[in-house]
Amino acid sequence: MKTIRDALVIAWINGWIAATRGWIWVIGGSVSPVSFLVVLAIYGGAEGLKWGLVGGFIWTIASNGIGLIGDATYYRLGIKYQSMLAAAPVSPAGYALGLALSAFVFALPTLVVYLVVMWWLGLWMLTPASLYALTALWLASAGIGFTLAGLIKHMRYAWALPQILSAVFTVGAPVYYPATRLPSPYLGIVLPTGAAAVMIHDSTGLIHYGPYLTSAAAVALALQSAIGLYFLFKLARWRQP
Amino acid sequence: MIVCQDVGRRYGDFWALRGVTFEAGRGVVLGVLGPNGAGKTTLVRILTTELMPSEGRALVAGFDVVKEPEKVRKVIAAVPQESRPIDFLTPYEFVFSYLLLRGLSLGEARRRTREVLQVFGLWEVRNREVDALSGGMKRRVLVAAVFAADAEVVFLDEPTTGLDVYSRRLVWNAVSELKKRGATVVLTTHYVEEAAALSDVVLVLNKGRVVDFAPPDKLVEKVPGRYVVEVYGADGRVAEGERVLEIGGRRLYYVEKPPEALSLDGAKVVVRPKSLEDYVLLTVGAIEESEEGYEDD
Repeated sequence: MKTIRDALVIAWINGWIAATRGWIWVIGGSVSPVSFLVVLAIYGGAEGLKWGLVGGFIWTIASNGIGLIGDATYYRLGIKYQSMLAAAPVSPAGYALGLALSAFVFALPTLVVYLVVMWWLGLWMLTPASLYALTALWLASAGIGFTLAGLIKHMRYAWALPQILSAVFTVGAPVYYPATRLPSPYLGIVLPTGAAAVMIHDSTGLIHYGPYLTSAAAVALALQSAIGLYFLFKLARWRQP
Repeated sequence: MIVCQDVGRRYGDFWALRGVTFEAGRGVVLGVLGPNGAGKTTLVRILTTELMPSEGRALVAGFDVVKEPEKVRKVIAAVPQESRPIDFLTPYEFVFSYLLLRGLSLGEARRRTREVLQVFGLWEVRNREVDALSGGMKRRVLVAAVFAADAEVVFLDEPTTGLDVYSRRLVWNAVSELKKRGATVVLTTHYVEEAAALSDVVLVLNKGRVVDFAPPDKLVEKVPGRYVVEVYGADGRVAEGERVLEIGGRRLYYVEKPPEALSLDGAKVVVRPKSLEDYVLLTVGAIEESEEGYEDD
């Protein structure tokens, strides 16, 4: 319970208050996925728009976790807020999940717009398979983000790393394109964004991959989110070894 | 309340802290003095469970910092070195959220936040974003949050660095009030007069080792003479002291009696009673960057 409460308090200050006082960050977070969406819509018409919307939705969820690298590093190295919380009964997992949740608060307006447009185009995103994929992706990316943030030694790297990871996670994995374009579609599920995309592409009807690939994606995503949570709870401790 | 037995911390081949042994009881203000790189912040980070010691054992409020970190965290609060409150929050939001994170109920957190902001002179600016506050006010917001936590052991790592004289005194009041409540306060500072005024006992560190551990007046007793004649800009020896210390073009003469007449053309002369600062100058030397200092300190 304390972990959940900690996460909600962090999400309140770092998400809700920050978003309501700085709308520029809400817009900033949606610019990259929207620009992909526009390009896909121009070259691919209605079909391209659908791929752009689903890909943008997945990117936005993944960037919640990856994006917490900047906040976590700033709070640890920039203003030493993490040190203040380390000397208090605050759970590291609650803190990390709170940062990821606050990024979700930032992304919420963008996600709502995506959902409305998808519904208008006849794409129903909120299927059980998609919800599982998005939740697991969120947990996996939060674990990766917080763990990597703990390894950064200089503030300046915290700005560059999320950009590199975003590119790898969204272009390197079949998020905006079908996994069948890869030499083997199973390569697409190596990264959590790709595994989530395979499940969502299939469940929204964008492309049907067949039961083997989607099952493999579900298992891969479960493993990836378990590893992410393991890092979050076990390795991403307050204490420096 | 705090027990350290041979505590050490190594980074590769470099020992940032070694063989640190001392005890400080309940309701004691422990001043930690030393130059940059002395190991002050390394010691604080070990005691606040943020850094693993390489050797030795440390207890805070009876709990082992390595084996029982969760129990230690429940009874401590800290203002880390060079920390700042989150800039887009207001002082009210910062203190309130900190208390909620410590596990206080909504009502209790509200009550304490209001009370502490009044005590620290921040009530008028409670709804202004921290970004718009002066440096002194920002620092006071941090100290206020920790003060409101009502912890058994409070760590203040250089809490008054860069503060104006008014803000410094508000922090000093907080330290005195914490002591009155029975809390143990660990205060690291560069300001020797601050350590002298507030501390019951002073731990002097240099290059990661304990130089001395005693009440401030006992340390001052170790300084020769009773007065200090400090002269700047005069050639040659101008007084006979029990000991003479040279710092660049400045000479400090440690004497039993202040000289009756000292007329030196163009030289600046100050005669004052000896203090803890003289002890630090004579035993530790210059408060400057240690060549081997670790980034923590």
